[in-house]
Amino acid sequence: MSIATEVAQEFDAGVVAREQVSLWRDGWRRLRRNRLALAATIFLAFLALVCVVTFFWTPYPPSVFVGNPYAGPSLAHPFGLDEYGRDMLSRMMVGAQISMAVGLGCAVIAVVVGVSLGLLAGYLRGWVDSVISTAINIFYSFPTILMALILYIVIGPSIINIMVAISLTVWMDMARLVRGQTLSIREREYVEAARASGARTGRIMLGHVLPNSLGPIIVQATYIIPSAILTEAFLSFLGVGIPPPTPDWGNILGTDGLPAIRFAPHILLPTAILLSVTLLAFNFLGDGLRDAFDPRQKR
Amino acid sequence: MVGGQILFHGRDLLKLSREEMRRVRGRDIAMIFQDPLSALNPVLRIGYQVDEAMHAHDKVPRNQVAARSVHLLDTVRVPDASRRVRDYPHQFSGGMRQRAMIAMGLANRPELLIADEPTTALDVTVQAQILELLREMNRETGTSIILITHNLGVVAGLCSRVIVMYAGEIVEEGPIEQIFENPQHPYTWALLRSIPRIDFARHDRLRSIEGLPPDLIALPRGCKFHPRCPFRVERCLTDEPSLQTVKGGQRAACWVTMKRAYEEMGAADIIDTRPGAASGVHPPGFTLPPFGAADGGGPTGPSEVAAP
Repeated sequence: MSIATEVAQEFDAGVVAREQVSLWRDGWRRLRRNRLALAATIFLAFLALVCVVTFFWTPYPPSVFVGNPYAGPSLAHPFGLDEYGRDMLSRMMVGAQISMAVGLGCAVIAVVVGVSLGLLAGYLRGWVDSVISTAINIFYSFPTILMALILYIVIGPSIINIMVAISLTVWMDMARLVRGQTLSIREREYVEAARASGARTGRIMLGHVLPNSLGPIIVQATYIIPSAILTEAFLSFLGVGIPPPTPDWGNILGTDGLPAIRFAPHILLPTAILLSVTLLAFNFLGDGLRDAFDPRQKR
Repeated sequence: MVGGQILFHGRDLLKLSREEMRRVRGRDIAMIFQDPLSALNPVLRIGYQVDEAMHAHDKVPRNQVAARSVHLLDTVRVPDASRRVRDYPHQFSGGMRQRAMIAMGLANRPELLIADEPTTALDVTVQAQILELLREMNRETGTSIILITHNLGVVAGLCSRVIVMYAGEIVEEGPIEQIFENPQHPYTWALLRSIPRIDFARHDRLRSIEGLPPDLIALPRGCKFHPRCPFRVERCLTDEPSLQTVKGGQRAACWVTMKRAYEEMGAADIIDTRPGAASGVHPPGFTLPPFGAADGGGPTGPSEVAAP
């Protein structure tokens, strides 16, 4: 589609006042133009819908014997059955719920922790910055998986604990990002103007600095989700994540799928593909958001 | 700050704690910034930013803040203010942004408004409107205004008392009429002389002050203005003058003053305004080439004689 026809269409649709469009609407408009990101958004929306449906309905109970072990795909069981004769579709659905919960939960914790510490370090500077920056560097020096493993073993198995453990390994990027943003935004004239009007430090941080760094924060959060999902799947794959019989993408792959890969690949493959596509979708969405909120790209 | 005090109602602002200072900012003393586009937060609504100063202090009751914002924007003549408070800065024109800044400054009816070049980012028409607005606010609310500007036309139109500064120091101060009619410091004199005049018969070259503003890290000895002053005397090269009363409320920091320059150096019809040209006083090792010799035309800058 040429630019001229596009402009003409938008003109017809009444979208003439381009200057009136807010930052968010503008970002969304540019995101929609990115096909990869749009496809990723649609896929993730579908996955989210599946997760909601799973709360109320699964084709079969996910942890109960419902047919012949290792049975291949059939009309009654589209993704076949596993080694205990449990329905794979139902198990994948519940697994999706857990993965999404862990991914989003970790992103929320990492955003809250990372943004607060980043704001404090960047705005107050001085000793506060020294303490927080040192903490960031210390956390960076641990290998992610090892740290999650140790934390998980120390604080015990549960979905909340696994979220906390993974969050502790991913908040540093967010804190660094926000600290950097804050350091640059605090020097802007509108922050000086807010100080000149007598605004308190807390209000300047939350009311002026934070809203101006929301774009990069959202993009960074989108990257945190897939890495958290992957870490959680990896822990479950190793057998130290979500304890069986609760299904989870990681333990479906590790406990159920891997031993049977030669004679019943239908247990491992669909879940592995679903996991990969989900991770890919989050990364595409992140890239799309990054481009959409990039102020240097005015399309 | 090197030293001294900033007195406001007899209180030294430099001795206040952070929290005490915060309570003064935006409540008793407010500020208008030079470039309203960068001084307004791009992601926040205008209303939120006007509210801010009122929320920070308890001068205006909480439940009246929103209404007062609309009223303020209305007062500074933002059209359709009740709807416009929900706009973002990029939806405002340059003049409207500056009006919104003024509304923010006036939110708590401060006693003192510091306006830092409030009209530099605006065209002359809007500039005139903004100045008229400031004058009106001053009349109606009794808010004193400190106007920081390079524009002497703006000063003439708005101010009652002028302080002329050069290289960070006061060189002359006094009532507006006296300063404009009878400037005593050569810098003030040169500034006024450099204003382009529409009523001049001949269109000469624009007059400027010879030389460059001093390097603030390596300030000249003696009077800071002597390297550019046509009327300098020996004393200017070594001793720094202090502010002396010249005549009723007018003070100037100058060893010569324009009174002497007019009487002894013919300042009234001077053409060569290069440093030291009128007085013939130069630092050792410095010679002024003959006037108009270098490029066969207009005045030339000073030149140093290189050591052989």
